Amino acid sequence: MKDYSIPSDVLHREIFRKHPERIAWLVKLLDVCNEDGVIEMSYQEVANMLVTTKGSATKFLSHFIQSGNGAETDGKRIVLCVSNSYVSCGNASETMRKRKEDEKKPKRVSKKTKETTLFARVRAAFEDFVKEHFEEAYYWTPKDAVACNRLIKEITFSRANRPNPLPVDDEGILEGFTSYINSINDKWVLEHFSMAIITQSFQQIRQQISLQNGKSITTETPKQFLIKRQKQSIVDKVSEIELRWKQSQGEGAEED
Amino acid sequence: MKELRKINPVEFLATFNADMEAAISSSVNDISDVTFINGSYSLNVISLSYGEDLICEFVKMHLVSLNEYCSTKSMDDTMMNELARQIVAQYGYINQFELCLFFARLKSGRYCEFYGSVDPLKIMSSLNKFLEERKDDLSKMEARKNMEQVRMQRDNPRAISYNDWIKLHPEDEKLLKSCGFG
Repeated sequence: MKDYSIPSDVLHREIFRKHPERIAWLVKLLDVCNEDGVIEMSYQEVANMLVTTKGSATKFLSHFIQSGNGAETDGKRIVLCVSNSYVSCGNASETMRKRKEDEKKPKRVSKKTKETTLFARVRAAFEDFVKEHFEEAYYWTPKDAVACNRLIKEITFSRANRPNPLPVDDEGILEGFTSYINSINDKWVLEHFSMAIITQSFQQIRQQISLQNGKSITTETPKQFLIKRQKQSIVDKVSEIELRWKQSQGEGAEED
Repeated sequence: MKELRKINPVEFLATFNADMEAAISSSVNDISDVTFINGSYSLNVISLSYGEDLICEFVKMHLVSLNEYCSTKSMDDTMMNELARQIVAQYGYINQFELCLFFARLKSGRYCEFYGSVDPLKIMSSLNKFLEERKDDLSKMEARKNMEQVRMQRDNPRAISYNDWIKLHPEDEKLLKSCGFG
């Protein structure tokens, strides 16, 4: 018999947030259990209860508690078990055994590995950028690690909450991070370049970029921009002088 | 000056650009070597030939190169315009080669170091140091020329001493004494 487990804290959080539409996943799970023949009438009832009380999260919770969760219902061998850590659907003994096994295992290993991988990739991208632009290795501190995690969250949020949302998978976030550090052209930030500073200035720099509005984002520093402008100004002025000189030469030739 | 007026101002600036600084610096030991070099014109002469604008742009071109060279904060347009005008107004007697040599030496850190930003005052004080060096070099050159002349006279096989000359021309002795010589 199959065993389906869902972290109960997720269920509780979603219910207490009073977004009943978010518990649809539980309904879906129960439907899947039903299709597999795992679920019996009592579960169908729970499913119906979920559907009927969909409009009110508190109502659902009170119905749920009244149904005597955590114990066998109607003498059937399948129970809905609610503990502090899991909501499980399945055979009671199997569920309990599974739960014990799960408690022994380190929790959410895969998620942590995923996070570490993204973090490591972002860190590597940052260190490469520093090496390329400042020709120095970056001394990584715990403060930077905290800032890096915060920046990842901010990038994820900003990518998800756009008029045209961008992908928030590892690749997407890494791409966002790379384009963000490459688009920094604020003089002060570049002079005090560190993970903590670029995290602090995230909103400010994003606004600067959005103000550029369609202009190509380059890595040109303000100094380079100033020098480019000064050179252009000299070229323009010398062209004017040359024009005047040519005119005077023409007049000189006519006089001759 | 007429010869200078025949040169296109763009060509002139292209010839004496920042690349020229290193070329002059590597081929010259004393400033006096470029003071009287052929084809050199003082900033004042260039200003009279092409107008003050061009010579200011010429100085600014070297200042921009200095800005780019230094890792510190750059001078802004106002500072640069004012500095270029100051240089032309106060030191218009130096020529374009000397100015290139000055910027080359300034870049080599011979006169000062910039902290925080490229400072116009430091550039002016460096230019003063450069002109002191120029004065010393010109004095040395003058002294060398004099020494050379003395040596040439001394080593001349036809030259004779004053006493020998008086013996040969006794009639001139009285005349010289009446004029306060001898």
